[in-house]
Amino acid sequence: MIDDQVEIPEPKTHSIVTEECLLRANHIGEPVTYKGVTGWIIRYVTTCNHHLLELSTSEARECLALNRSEEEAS
Amino acid sequence: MTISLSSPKYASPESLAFQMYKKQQDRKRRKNPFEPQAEERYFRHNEGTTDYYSHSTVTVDRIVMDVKPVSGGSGLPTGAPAVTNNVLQTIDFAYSGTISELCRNGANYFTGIMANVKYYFGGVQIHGYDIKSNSNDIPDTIGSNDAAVVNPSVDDWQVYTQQSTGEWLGQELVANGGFDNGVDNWVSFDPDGAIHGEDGYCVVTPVNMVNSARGAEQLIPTTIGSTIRLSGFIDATEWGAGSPHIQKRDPSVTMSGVLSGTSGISSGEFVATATSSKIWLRCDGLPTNLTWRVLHDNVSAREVLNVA
Repeated sequence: MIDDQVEIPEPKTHSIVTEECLLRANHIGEPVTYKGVTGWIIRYVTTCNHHLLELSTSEARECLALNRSEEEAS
Repeated sequence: MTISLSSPKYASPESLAFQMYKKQQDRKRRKNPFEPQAEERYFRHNEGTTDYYSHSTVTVDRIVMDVKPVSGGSGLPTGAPAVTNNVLQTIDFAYSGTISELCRNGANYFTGIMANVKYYFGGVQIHGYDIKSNSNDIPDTIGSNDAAVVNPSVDDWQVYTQQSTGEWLGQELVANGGFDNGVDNWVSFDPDGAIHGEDGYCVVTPVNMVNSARGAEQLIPTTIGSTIRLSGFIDATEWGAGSPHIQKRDPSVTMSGVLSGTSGISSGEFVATATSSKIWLRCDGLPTNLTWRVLHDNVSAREVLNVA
């Protein structure tokens, strides 16, 4: 008998990459530090050598909020 | 049977017979100008993390735009009035100074749909952005100050069809909701039940007589914050008790059944909280006979842009 809800993991849609990463046209990487990783957050997942961390949308929002609050605090 | 090529379709193009045939075909294909045509266009969901629109700086004193916010008016231009979430509404407000970005105001980003932006100065419209191009280039419909999407994703664009009520409906998200291909794309979500296709219906049956929720499920792609209209037909006349219904099921918010316990067509709406949502064709209860069954048909889920 099943009546419990099943959590579906959110797909990874964002990346943090090193500053050496050549971004696509129209992309402006925003500098962030998240989970011990520092780089640019971008709105797609890359497989290049500059790849540091994959994030879901909610993780990306958390990352941006953390970095904005740090900026505001300083 | 002898195959004849005497049809005017195969006559010499210069012949009268072919010309008459061609005129007849053209008339058949002609669009009736008096019949209202459903308008179709793209809208773009601004995710509101790092994406926005950028254009060369202009001085404006009034802005008019359509917005469908997901989380309030954060990121709208300074001076924008309070907005209602999850409804497509037109806002018209005075603006003072220069502007070079839309969907971003300082550190704040707008989450939701923005469209049909009009900039005015001195009582004259000087720039316009429909935001329906399905590309990173947003043409200026009045001048030559085109805008560009910064930090885009192709998934942001979706096509919608306007309804007679004024609201816009997105593309069908349910695969094989009419069950023309049996129960392809659907799976049974509970071992206490089974599903099969029969005469264009999805039939849910119990496999034992325990009190259980049983039925069919399908995962559909959704955009977070989008309003989804879920509808379907249920024939529950052969289900002895309990409450057959169609519902959105996960990940954290359960929509109450859009149709419960009775037979017929009904619909309801939910706001997607994830990039995919599960649809359940659910039949609850304690069967007293294994011949109990529920028929489901015409299950549909489409994003709706409700108009204020």
